[in-house]
Amino acid sequence: MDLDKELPFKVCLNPPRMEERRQWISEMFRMHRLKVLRWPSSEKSANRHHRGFAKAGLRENYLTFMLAARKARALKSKALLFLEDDVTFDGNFRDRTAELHLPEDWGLLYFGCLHIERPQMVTPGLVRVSRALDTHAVAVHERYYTAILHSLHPRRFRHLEGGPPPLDVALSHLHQSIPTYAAWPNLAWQRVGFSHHNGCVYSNYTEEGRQKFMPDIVAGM
Amino acid sequence: MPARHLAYTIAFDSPGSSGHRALAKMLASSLMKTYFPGDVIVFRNSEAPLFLVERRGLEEVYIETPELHGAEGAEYSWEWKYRVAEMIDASQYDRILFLDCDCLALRNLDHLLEGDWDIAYKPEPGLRITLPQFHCFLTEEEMQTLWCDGVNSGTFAVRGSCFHEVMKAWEAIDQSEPCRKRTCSDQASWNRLLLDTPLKIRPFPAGEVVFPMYLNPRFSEYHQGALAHNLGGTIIEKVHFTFGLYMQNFYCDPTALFLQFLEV
Repeated sequence: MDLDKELPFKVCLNPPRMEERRQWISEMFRMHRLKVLRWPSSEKSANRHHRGFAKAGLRENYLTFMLAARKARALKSKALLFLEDDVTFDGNFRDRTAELHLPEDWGLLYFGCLHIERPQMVTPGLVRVSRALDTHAVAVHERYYTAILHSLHPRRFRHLEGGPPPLDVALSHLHQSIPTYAAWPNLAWQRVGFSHHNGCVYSNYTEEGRQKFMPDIVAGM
Repeated sequence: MPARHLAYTIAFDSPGSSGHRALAKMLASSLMKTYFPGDVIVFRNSEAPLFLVERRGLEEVYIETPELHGAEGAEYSWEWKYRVAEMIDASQYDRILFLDCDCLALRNLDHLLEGDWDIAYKPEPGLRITLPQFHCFLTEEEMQTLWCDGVNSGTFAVRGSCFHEVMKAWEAIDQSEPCRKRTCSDQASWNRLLLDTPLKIRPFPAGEVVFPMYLNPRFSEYHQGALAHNLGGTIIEKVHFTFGLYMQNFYCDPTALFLQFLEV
């Protein structure tokens, strides 16, 4: 796939309070020649709200994704690539991405994710996702902007006691209805660092991008 | 067989000044003291050699220049970072490292030259690429959308097999019409090159190239680096600071024994 042609609208959530992450991620983008729009949070660090979400950070992530999808739809962009600012890439990300052949029907594409149900191999380098978590590098095809915006609207989760689920969990509920694929092995994953959601130094992945959590799910693949 | 590398620097002085010579001498000496694995070339515009006794692996090349004065002289000197390429036989080197003469090796630099990359570079942390010292070859759109830091053009390394290609590309950008007023244009063109090149680029490992007189003024921060790049200040200030750092790094022990020799 031609990354710039197939995924013309790329955004990365990077709040202004995350200066170290800005330096890290912008360097990653330079190294891999990715033209990515920085999406700073609209909320200042001292003035962040849960507003029904379990944590302010989860809300920030969730709503930024929604706003980015809405913007992509307004721009009539062919696809959106949403990135988080603690993502890291395979050293040959560009080359390996160029080798990917996406099926015509794709709706969601993960450049890396945490499989919690065993995926099916489709072609070399690509699997069909059964159910997976994480949203460090996920793309959405234009066919599904509206469906996702509708399905993930926070109002739909009003009845839940803890409010809307984290973005990755909410998206995972759509994996059976939206054709979802993932790069295999992972080409992008969460780097080891301080996770603001979990409050500790953390990553679900090894330094090479293999999933540390539930490794049995993908054993032998 | 271990990889063979080259480090080169440019030491062009104005008439009556010898600051860059002094800096280049300290840099070359520090490279040899820290066992740089390869050759070192100093390009100078002063006729007298830096070292009166020949050092193995160190070459000095005299280049005749017009008299250099002020900012115009500095811009002229900076162009020689790529102009000296034609005097370098890149084919015999795995990696070629350029160091401004105000650099000082504090530790061995082998690890800076390892890895699968074609160009290694040093960003200036916290200083955006849209600042005047980096931006003269950026388009208006890039001025609005780029959010990475600017890259310093005083320390970089290039794979030997693509060195000439990179230097030619750099020269072509640097000699082209800028989008805005030229300021540190060699640096701005280096930033342009890094944005456009299809080659594999990587920053030097974090914390290994430090700017003691500029962005890393805390001793605890800069003394752990492998390479100090002493930019900032006047040439005299640079010589003073670099001399102090050189002596501390290579001649200071906990008892300050060297001082006992001097002050018997």
